[in-house]
Amino acid sequence: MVTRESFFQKLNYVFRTVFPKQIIVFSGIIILYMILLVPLHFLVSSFLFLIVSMVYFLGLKFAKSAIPLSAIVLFVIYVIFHYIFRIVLP
Amino acid sequence: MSYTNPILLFVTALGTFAGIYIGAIPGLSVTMAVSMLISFTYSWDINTALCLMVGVYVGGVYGGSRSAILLNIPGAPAAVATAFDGYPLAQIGEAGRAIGLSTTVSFVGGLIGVFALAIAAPQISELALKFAPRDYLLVAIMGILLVGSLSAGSLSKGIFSGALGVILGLVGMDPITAEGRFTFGSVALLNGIHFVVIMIGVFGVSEALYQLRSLDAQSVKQKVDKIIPSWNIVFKFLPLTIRSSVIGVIIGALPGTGGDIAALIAYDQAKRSVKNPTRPFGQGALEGVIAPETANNAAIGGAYIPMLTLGIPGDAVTAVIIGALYIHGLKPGPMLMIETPHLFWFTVGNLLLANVFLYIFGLSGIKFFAKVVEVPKGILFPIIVLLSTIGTYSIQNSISDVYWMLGFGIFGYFLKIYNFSVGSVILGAILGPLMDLSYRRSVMSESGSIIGFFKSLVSTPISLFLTVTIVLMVLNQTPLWKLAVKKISKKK
Repeated sequence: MVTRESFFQKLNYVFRTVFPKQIIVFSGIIILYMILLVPLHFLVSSFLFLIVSMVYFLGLKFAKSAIPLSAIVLFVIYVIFHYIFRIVLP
Repeated sequence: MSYTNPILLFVTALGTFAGIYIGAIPGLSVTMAVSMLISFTYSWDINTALCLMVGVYVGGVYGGSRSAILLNIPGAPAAVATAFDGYPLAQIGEAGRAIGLSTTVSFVGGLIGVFALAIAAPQISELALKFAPRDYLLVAIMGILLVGSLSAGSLSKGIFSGALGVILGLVGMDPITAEGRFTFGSVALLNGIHFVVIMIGVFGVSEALYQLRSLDAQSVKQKVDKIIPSWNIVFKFLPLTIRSSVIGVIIGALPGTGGDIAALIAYDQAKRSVKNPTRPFGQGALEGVIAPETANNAAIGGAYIPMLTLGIPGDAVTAVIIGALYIHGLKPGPMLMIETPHLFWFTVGNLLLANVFLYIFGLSGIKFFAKVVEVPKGILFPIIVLLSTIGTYSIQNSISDVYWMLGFGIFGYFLKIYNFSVGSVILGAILGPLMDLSYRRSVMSESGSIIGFFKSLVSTPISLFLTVTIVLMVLNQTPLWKLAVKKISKKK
């Protein structure tokens, strides 16, 4: 017989192992990014996405280096894909 | 076409080099990289695109061993077995020796795999010309069963994820009557869900989400020297190397199973057959590094055999490469060898070349390597998501594909948590339409009679063999099998 309380405890436990906080937050950031992709265009939204997620993972201290890093990454990606792979970016 | 073309040489070298690092960085996988490359190289010439993918494939399978040895974290599933003995070797200060040896045997194993491909593929493709549509159906079913049962452990989960992939592959227009199926009246679904979208979602985003669960690794800080192994050692272990290569080629050639399983089986085989290992297994036996490393690289050549001859992928990466061939308008299968034989020999040469580059790059740049592997996941994962987005968007320039990709990413995360094999979902999605078409054709050739279809399954030697194999594979997992085994052993 499963009592009501222990059933909810189990549910809670399952929920916490399947969805650690990081994964929920990161998925949330990704979904937000996808929503903003069209209105803000690729470069702006990707830049914001990279900064926000890097700061989230590595802490506020990382914010200073996250901005140039994201800019460099985005620049490299843009050059490679736009000019070498000749891809239409969103 | 020819190897005098410096661009192709350069692209192969670049691919191999990149592959080593992609394979080595935990969190980046070869399948992930190759599925993204499909969409990135969409506008390229087929030969150049193939060069890059082959390079990444060969490099990536090898690259996993480096992080397995230095970090005790296999960079790729194919290197899981390498870590058993590779990391203990690094702990006693023989990391350089282990890396050098694993590079050498990877090279040897890779070469043997390529030779097996060059010898076996023409024969098999001749046999494949005799294949009736029903035989394709049977081989496809076998592939899905194999990848499910061998990689995830449980056959029921394997069948479930394979069947799921098949259903995903069926969405869209019926290939024979052009009616919409599983579209729920939506026009957007009429073209089906592009399998590259599923691939990038499942191998890219969901892999990133899944890897978030484990923390960053610290590498072993030690001087890595004495990299190039002496001839004595290489020759001493040559019999083991060849045995492991044979295992690798065979496992690789079975539809659905690739380097990761080959490496585990080869390790297990070495453990049982080597009487006096240099050190006990699990504590730094050189044999324990040699066997899996040879097998996983030999499996590459093996995996290409069913792909080029039957159009059925040998493992997850070749499943992705089949996708690339389809996109470039080629149909892998027995006709591929007849219509475009140069493509086959091109691939063989390409694999050979990639292995040579592997040897060159494998023995250099190890100091630089340790730094690259330590890139924090917090930086890596956002970039993976970004690349996945670009990759998905670029296939059809459609934003709804990107949403699909995200959906499959989150869905794939659930599959991974509960140990369902995502590889068989992809295999199902690619093989589904093929199974559909060959089933319909074989029923049609029996003038629509389902009884005639089942009769035809046992009417020719090829079909009979395949049917019996599949039935045995399924029975093997049921309680009935154990009962039968008990009864037979009692009688003896």
